[in-house]
Parts: sequence; structure tokens; C-alpha cells
Amino acid sequence: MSQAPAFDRRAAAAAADAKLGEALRFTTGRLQAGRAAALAELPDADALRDHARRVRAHTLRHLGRYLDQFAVQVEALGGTVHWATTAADAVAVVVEIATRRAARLVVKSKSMLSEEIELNHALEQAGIRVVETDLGEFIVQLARDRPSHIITPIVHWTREDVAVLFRQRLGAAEQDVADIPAMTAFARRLLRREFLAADIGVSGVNFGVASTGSIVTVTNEGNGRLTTTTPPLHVALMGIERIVPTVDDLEVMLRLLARSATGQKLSVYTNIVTGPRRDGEVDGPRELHVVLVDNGRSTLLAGELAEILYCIRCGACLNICPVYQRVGGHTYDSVYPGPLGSVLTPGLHGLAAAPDLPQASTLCGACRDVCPVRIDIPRMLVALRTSSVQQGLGPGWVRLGVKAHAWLASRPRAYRAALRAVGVASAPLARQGWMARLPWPLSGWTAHRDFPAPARRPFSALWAERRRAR
Amino acid sequence: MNTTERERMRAALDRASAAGFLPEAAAPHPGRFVQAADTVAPAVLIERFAHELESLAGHVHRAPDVEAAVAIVKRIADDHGTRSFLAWRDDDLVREASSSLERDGLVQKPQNVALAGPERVSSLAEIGTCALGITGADFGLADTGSVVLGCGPGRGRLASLLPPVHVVMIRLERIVASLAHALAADPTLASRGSNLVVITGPSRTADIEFTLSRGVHGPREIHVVVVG
Repeated sequence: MSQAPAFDRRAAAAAADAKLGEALRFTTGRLQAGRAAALAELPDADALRDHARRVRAHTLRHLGRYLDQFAVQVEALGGTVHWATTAADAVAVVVEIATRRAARLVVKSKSMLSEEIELNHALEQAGIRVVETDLGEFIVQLARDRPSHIITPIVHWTREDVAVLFRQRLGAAEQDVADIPAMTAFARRLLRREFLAADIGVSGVNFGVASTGSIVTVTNEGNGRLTTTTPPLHVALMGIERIVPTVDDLEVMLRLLARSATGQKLSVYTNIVTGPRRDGEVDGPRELHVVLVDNGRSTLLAGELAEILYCIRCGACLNICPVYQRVGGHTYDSVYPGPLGSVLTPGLHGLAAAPDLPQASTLCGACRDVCPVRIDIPRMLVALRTSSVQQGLGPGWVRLGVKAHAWLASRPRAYRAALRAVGVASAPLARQGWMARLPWPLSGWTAHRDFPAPARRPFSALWAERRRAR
Repeated sequence: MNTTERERMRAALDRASAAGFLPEAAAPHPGRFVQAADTVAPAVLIERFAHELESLAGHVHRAPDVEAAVAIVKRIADDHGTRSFLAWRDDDLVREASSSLERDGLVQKPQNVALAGPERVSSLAEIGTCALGITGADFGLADTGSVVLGCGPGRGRLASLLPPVHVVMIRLERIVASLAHALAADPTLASRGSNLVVITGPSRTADIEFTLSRGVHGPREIHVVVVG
């Protein structure tokens, strides 16, 4: 996977891309403002967030019990539940369902989990056509690109980029790509045919309700509803942590999710599926399969990063993060970008797979402040940095530096001597308490800003002097 | 279905749940969330509902009685040059409107989608040509401008999904303050049928340049006709 310096290189390239910077500033700014207004409108947003946090904590402590309850309900309604420990297990389940029914076309509504387990590739290998139906994901798939935000996947695309893609790949006429509504209508016509012809609909799951066996998907476009309605078979991919105990708990999460994600009070379609089509009903799939996927979550749950599983995937931490705002989603090279991903990705797949992500933060704490369930992301980033040093990961000079500091800091005499040396050595470079230029390897810092000059005499010396004067 | 896989995952989960650092997990389930104050006063439910839905580019029509409501639905059908429509069969308001449209020569398509085979594909294609879908609703939600539609026999999902224009007919007394109020009034609401959908405005996307466009997969227009 990615190597340590790669993040820096990608970040530098992204930060230098003016078009991307403009798009990121605009989109994250609008989403942030929307979120703030939508939460301010609630009479008791803080109490609601505390409540939601307690529900998530309680659910994860009793996760096995709630999953059992959920599975029993789904099966009582005539659905089938599959338990998948690894990504490969989950993929094998879906491929088997599809090949056993000789499926040729699968339509998908947005699912981060399906990207995590790389489902599309496996289905295509089995000779099955897979069509993403969320407009942004459809464009990503068509261009063989990757999503760069969990809510707005093509924040890095312009309308001109989309127009060129539609003309080249889909043979769109000039009037089909004249403006954004025309492109949207063009995609609607094209995807509507796929929805009506599909053999299987694959959806993600925003929440699973233990007490009723319901599966909840939230979309604005309506592709989530179509995916779970027109094909004769529905496969729902669900991360095991997506469970809520009751319908009342679901309502609390819904009140927070859209407000935190986009500033909407509710998304356009909150779609609750409870079992397959029943006797007497006129439409809907007659077969329902729910795949419960672990893929590293139980390992996460057992450790100090378990709190990241409280996440309800709103994306507010991406929009507020000063690092995400400047480097965008691709820089993280991870299915889940931004602060949430910087904990989740190393948590699920190990630090060696993403050694640089825990460093991609200033630890300013803005992510914790906007999180609807108040996840302490900075605490876990620091914990990951600690593990990183303990495992000997990261650049050699950092480990060397930390060792040198540890040696010095545990020897008071040497430490004081070193401070005095720095004070003396830096004196010629200092002007009114600031240094404008430092020699390599510190020149990187002063290329863009001044550095505060060390005190001519260290604090320890002043302190000793004061005590003597008394 | 795969018992050994289930047992293996369950065992791992129980060990993990007990071992992990889960802040605030020691407390019992906090129960139902008790709101400090109602977000919407009972006297202004319909005003708030209309305000919220209209701010999302939805349309709200008031009708003093069923006759007036039917006239509104006919006008919407006319405005769109509707020739065929899809409608719920078991809702008394919708039935009145459907009969009236049929007397005017419009064709009501059957809602039923065959379970399998070529009949399934052809029934979907048939329904897919309708320009108008008419449904009732279990509830209207004032604080979000939403309508809540439970599916069931005679109440298909597709009438509110495939046609580009969706008309909802609802009685005034079915408009409540919020989803929490609807669930409190009707605890089995979410699971009585195989599908419940909460619809908040017309289908939309902002995926391209964060610019809003409507009717991407679901209806481009939603009209709610409130009777009473």
C-alpha cells in the first residue's frame, strides 16, 4: 500500500491545484454553514447529541446481542442473513448469490462498504455488469476515478469535465450536456433503463434496526429507493456497527444525520425496508439478503480506537478539517478520507497499511467539536502516533529525533547545556525575538513564516536566579 | 444461514465488546429522547408544513373538501398533459381523484409488478411510462415538510417513485409536528409493510459543482393536496 512520504507528495500536488482548491473551499464552506444553521434551529441540539452518543456507546457494548436480534427479525420476515468475517467472505457471498441466479446486471446505490471490500471488481470478474446509480458515483465509475468525499464524491470535478466525459464515453449530444440540469436529465434517462432491467440491486445500509429487522438507506436522488424496489432481488451490505436498537433510536440518528451532513433537515428519501415483498403487496423485491460484514471491525472494537465505530458517516469532520479543506479526499489514498478515515483506515487494516494518515492532522479538535456523536478523533490520532513510534513505523529521522529528545530530556545537566547552546547559537539570527531564516534542515519552516527565537537565557536559568535572589 | 461463520463472528464480538475502550458505554440505554420543547405549536402545523415543503420547491395546495381536492388533482394532471397515471387503490381520497380522472378519459395503469419472468419486466416498462403518480400518506411532518408513505396491499412504492410528478392527498388532521410524533402516535408505522418512506421534497442532487438540480431519479415535482 502507500509509503510514508507519499502523503506529503500528494498533499503538495493537491494544494498547488488552484481549481481543486476553489472547489474544496466552496463546497466545504457551504456544507459547514448549512450544518451550523440546521443544528442551531433545533431547540436542544446539544442534549440530542449527548443522547445519540449514549445510544451508540450502549449499542456497541452489546453489539452481538443486537445483531442477533436484528438477524432473527430479518429471517422471520423471510429475508436471509449472511455473516462475513472478511472482505473476501463478503464478496464471495454476493458473487455466489449473483452467479446462482445467472444475474447479468447489478445496479448499486452508494455504499462505502462496497468500496471497502472492492465488490465491483469481483462482480465484473464474474462477468456481471455493475452500474453505480448515485450521480457522483456513476461519474466516478465511468471515468475510473475514485470518490474524494463520502457525501459529495466528485467535489473535485467541474461541469466541463463531466460534459467531456458524457460526450466521449456515452455519446451525449451537445444539448444533453448544455448545463447541469441537462446532464442530470441525461443520466436519469440512461440509468432508468438500467433500473428497470437489473437482476439485482445492491445497497449500503445507513442503519439497521434491531427490534424490527429494518434496513434504512438515506438518499437525495431516489436511487436508493429504486435500487431496493425495481430489481427482483435486493442485497444489502451492512457494516456490523450500523445497528441501532429501536425505531426511536433511529429517529434520533436521522434528526442528526442530514443536518450534520448537508444542512438538510432530512434527506429527500429516508427509505425503510422491512423484509422482502409480502403477500398482497404490489411491488418490491421478493428476495432480500443482508450481508453483515466485520472486516476488521471486531478488532477495532476490542481496542482503544473502538470509539470510531460510533460514527454515523455524516462527513462533517471532513468539511471542517483544515487539512482536508486544503488537500482533498484523494490525498488520503483511503476509502474513508478526512479525520474519520485517518482513524478508521489504520484501525481496520493496520498502521502499516496507512502509516502517514495519523500524522495528517493538526490536532486542532474541530472534528470532535462538529461530530454529531462527539467522537474524540484527536485522542485516537495521538494513540495511533504512539503505536506508530512503538512499531518503528514512519520516517527514520522522526524516530531518531524522538530518541535523541528522550535521551536529552532525561538528563537535566545535558538538557540545560543544550538549551544554553541553542540560545547562544541562535542569537545572531534573531531580530526582535524572531528568526526569518534558519539553516537546513529547518529552512522548510522559515520558507513561509518566521520562527520565534529561543530565549537568550533559558527559563531554568532565570528561575534559579530568582530563587537565589529571595 | 452459515451457522459456524455466525458463531465465530459472535464469539469475536462478545470478546471485543467487553475489552474495548467505549466511552460512556457503562450506562444503560438512555431510553426515548425527551425534547425540551415542541418544535412546532399545534396551531401552526399546516403553516409550518407548507413553509418547509415550499422552501424545498415542493407545492402545497389547500382544499376545503374532497371535491375541491379532486379538482386540484385534475388541474395538475391537465397542466402536465397527463394521459396515463399510477395511483394507490385503497385510499378513499385517491380513489375519488382516480375515478374522476378516468371519467375524463385518462388511463389508470395497474400497480402490480409480476414477481418474476418477462411479465415482471413488461409490467415495469408499462408503469414506467406514467406521467403522474397519486398516493395518500400516513402522516405529514410539519417540522421538515415531509410526507410519510407506508406501502401495503393497494399501496405501491412505484407511484411515488417512477413518474416525474407525484401528487399526495392527505387530510389536515394527519399533519403532525415531527417524525417522533408520528412514531409515538403509531408505534408499528415503520414495520407494518415491507417499505416505509419519508419523502422530503422533490428528488435532487448537488453532485456536480454543488449546484442543485431536481428530478434526478425520483419525481421532479411533488404536490401535496391537504384536505380540510
